[in-house]
Amino acid sequence: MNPLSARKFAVAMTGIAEVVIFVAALAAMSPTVSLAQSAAPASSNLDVPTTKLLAIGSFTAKGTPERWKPLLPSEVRDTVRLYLTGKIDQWYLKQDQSGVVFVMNVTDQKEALELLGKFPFGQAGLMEFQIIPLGPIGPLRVLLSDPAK
Amino acid sequence: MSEVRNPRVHAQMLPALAAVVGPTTKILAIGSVTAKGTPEAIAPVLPFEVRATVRNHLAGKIEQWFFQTEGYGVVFIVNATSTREAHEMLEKLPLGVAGMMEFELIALGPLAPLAMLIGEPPRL
Repeated sequence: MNPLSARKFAVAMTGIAEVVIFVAALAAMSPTVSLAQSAAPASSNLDVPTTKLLAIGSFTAKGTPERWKPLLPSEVRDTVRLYLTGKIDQWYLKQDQSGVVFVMNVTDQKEALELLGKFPFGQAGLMEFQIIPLGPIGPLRVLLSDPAK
Repeated sequence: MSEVRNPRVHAQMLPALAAVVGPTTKILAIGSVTAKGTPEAIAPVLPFEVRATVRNHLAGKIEQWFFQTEGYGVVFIVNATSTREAHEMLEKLPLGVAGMMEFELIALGPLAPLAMLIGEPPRL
């Protein structure tokens, strides 16, 4: 399974898990709520807004050093420019040399992919970004209702 | 959870990049529920999971924590200098002990190519 199809599979699996855990968390926080009641969207205690996006950039099979080295200086400059607009909150290099990780101050996945796709690596098809929407750590709500343990 | 598990690595480029050296300063931990993590199984463990996570945050180990708003899971940025160190901490969380959550660990370091902007090209 290549990385992309593996990720699609993972996304599909987490989609299933989402429903499962949603009910589980509700049951844990409010044992008296029935499953039928807890499945109602309005009562979701795990609902949190998307406040950031995690962007994991990875070299594609096309992204060989011969191809990306000449583009690196302009890639760096575009990255800094985007940071200066406030869109990139944090930036890291993956230590396995497979790409970068950004935490972005963007909540729209399409916007993030468009912004990152304008970088030289993206334009040349050398790097692809996987986006994971992030929000406040919802399960922390458990602490608001449970007695201290 | 091993250092070589990341499927995004293209092995053919590693020799050319081997000269790039930077410290590992953070570990990105992407947590996903396993097949064992059924609602019935997770419910009684969740309060303990949350408390253990908060303790790790208070200890300065889990620096940032997020919930995945699409698809259930968490994302942590961990203060550790190796995936092994992060794994040892995360596997002790109750859901990890019970085999109900697994973490993909990605070692992170400073954005080395920034060195180009100060006239010190990274050794690529």
